[in-house]
Amino acid sequence: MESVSRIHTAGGAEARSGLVERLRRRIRAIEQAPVSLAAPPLVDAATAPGPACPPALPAPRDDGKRWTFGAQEIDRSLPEGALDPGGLHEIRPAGYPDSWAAIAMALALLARRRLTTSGTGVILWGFTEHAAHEFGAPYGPGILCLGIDPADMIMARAERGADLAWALEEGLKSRALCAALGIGCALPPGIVKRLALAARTYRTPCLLVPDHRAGRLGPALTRWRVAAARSADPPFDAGAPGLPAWDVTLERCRHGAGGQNRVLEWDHETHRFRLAAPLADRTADDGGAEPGRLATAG
Amino acid sequence: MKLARWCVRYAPATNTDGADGLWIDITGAAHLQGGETALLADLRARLAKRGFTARLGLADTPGAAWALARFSPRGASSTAAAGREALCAALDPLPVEGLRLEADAVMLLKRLGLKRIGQLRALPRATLQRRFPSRDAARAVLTRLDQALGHVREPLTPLEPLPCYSARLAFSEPLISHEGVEAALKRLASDLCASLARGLAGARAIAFTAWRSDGGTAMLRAGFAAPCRDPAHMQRLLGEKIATVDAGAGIDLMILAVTGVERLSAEQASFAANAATRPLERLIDRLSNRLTPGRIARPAPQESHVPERAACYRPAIHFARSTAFLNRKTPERPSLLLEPPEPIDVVAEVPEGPPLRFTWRRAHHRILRWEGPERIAGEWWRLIGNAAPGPLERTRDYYRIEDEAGARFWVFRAGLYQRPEDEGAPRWYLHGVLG
Repeated sequence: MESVSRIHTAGGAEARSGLVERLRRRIRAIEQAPVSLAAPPLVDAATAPGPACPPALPAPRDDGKRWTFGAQEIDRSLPEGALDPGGLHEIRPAGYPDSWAAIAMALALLARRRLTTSGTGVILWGFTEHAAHEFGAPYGPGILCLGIDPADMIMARAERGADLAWALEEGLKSRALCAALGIGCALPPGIVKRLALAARTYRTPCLLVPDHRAGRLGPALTRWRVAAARSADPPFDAGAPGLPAWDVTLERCRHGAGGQNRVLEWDHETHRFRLAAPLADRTADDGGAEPGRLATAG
Repeated sequence: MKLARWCVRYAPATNTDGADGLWIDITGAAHLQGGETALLADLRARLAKRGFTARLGLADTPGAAWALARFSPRGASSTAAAGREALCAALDPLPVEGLRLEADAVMLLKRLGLKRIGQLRALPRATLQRRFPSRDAARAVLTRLDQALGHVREPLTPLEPLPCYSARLAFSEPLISHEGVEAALKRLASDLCASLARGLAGARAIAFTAWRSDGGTAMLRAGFAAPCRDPAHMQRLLGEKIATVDAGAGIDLMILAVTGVERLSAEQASFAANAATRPLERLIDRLSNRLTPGRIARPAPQESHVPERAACYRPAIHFARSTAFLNRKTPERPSLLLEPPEPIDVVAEVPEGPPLRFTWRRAHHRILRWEGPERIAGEWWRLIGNAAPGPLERTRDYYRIEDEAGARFWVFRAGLYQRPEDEGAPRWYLHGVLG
């Protein structure tokens, strides 16, 4: 009796997860179709040359393109296959030496985000005096190396965390930004909630890179844990460091599958994340079917 | 100085005059107080309330007003009527000290029997000139006389630059509540913006001054990244700071003045008005005015090959977006630069080789991958005349290195092993962490 019921529930769960997966796939298919809600269908039918043309004109703000990683393996674990621009995203260093990796990955995500606004959005980068001392001050040529034009950045160097939070919130509410980034801050939960609310209301993403010891940010839509990873051989110089590589764990994802762990490389030329080579080979057998529980969910 | 600033309530051009005087240029401002006599009476009453005994003089020229204030026999407050004759009549009975002369010049004039300005004025200039020991001394006396009589213009430098646009609001009953101050600010802002619109101008900087009835003043300033004549925006920027204004015994006068002005045509304004355009400039204004302009910055490239000088920050409120970054591709650089570079303990191949292991911030790193060197020479023009250049002015060899954990660093060796005798042994530094 007992064993039967257990089999029954297990079967039910399996059927349900299969159904959810099918529905997800359908939603994805719908979303990737070149139908734009912004354009009236009449005009669309008259002028569109064929069904398979990608959206030619970038729609205003977020609606046209989506904020993805550009690497299917990681996009698949996100709800609707993309990051939600209307919210808070936490990019947490795994330890102190990984702080720079987390900041670099946040910048890479911002570079992806700028693609959705056809590469022109302004980014507000807020940091505290303490963070500038600890990690260094933002450096234009280096930001350019990660794929963002530093001229499109506004730096807010705040004396205290409270000033930083205020500046970020003003930035989110101004509707002038493509994203806001705050680094090295330990903000009280109430203020984090305010930031999340502002990000949701004004559809402007807010990326926070907290101190590695700071508490978890409750209202974050996604929480990524980032550690530095050994880079692969660059094609022409075997002993040299290759593209930046990070060991990325999706610790938490609202409405999505958490717990994914991947080693990602950032290619600033193509503005695209991709799976680091050894893992990319392995994904063929463990991909898709089982949204892995490789890392401990936190 | 404080008192001079306070006197701006009468007219915008004021300044201190020596240790014991101050002047107000009330040209075109007396009618606001109901005429010159009323102005002097008001000034006297307010000064008395603050505990000052003052002697006031009012005349067509600064020199004559100076003389009247200090030497007038008719008591503590004296006015010379407008016009050349009235001016002469007022000055003639005053002693020659009233001409702001050097002590020995006064002595000489007295010895000559010239005690009154009138006597001096009656003499022919040529004869007067001959009595002085030097030509310069004579010219000094004559210039002072001419200035007092208005033959020579005497420019005065006011404490604050004169605003081209301003709005003022005076209260018969002093304002005490913050709501009242905010309402008044709203009215001032809309008045000011109306006059800016008439002049097709926009403000880049404004100053708000409040006069307390007990004699103090409070001043708030705000700057704009783009010329602005939007009263709501002005009000918002100043409103955040208005809590810091101490109303004290009440505020009886407020002036909102434009201290920086720029052209802003009507088309632009209407374009800006119909949508929330320029939201970025508005954001920069708000951040800069609260966190000080230096903290809100835009990165800009600089002409230098030394990494820390290749980029700088410029206050976003004063500088527009710079476009020159994109055509400056460099080899990989860290997105965060340590300032200054931090010294590290390194085991490296001598004379020229990458670090094999190093210690930074008490952590040890063993290097697996490396790339370099990228040699960056110091800027020779900074070394000229500099007897002992710092270690950071020496030639640097930069390496990109990666440790066992995958952390990537940007380190350099300052100095070369080949030339230790003139520069000392090379030192290693960490300049940034490549994410």
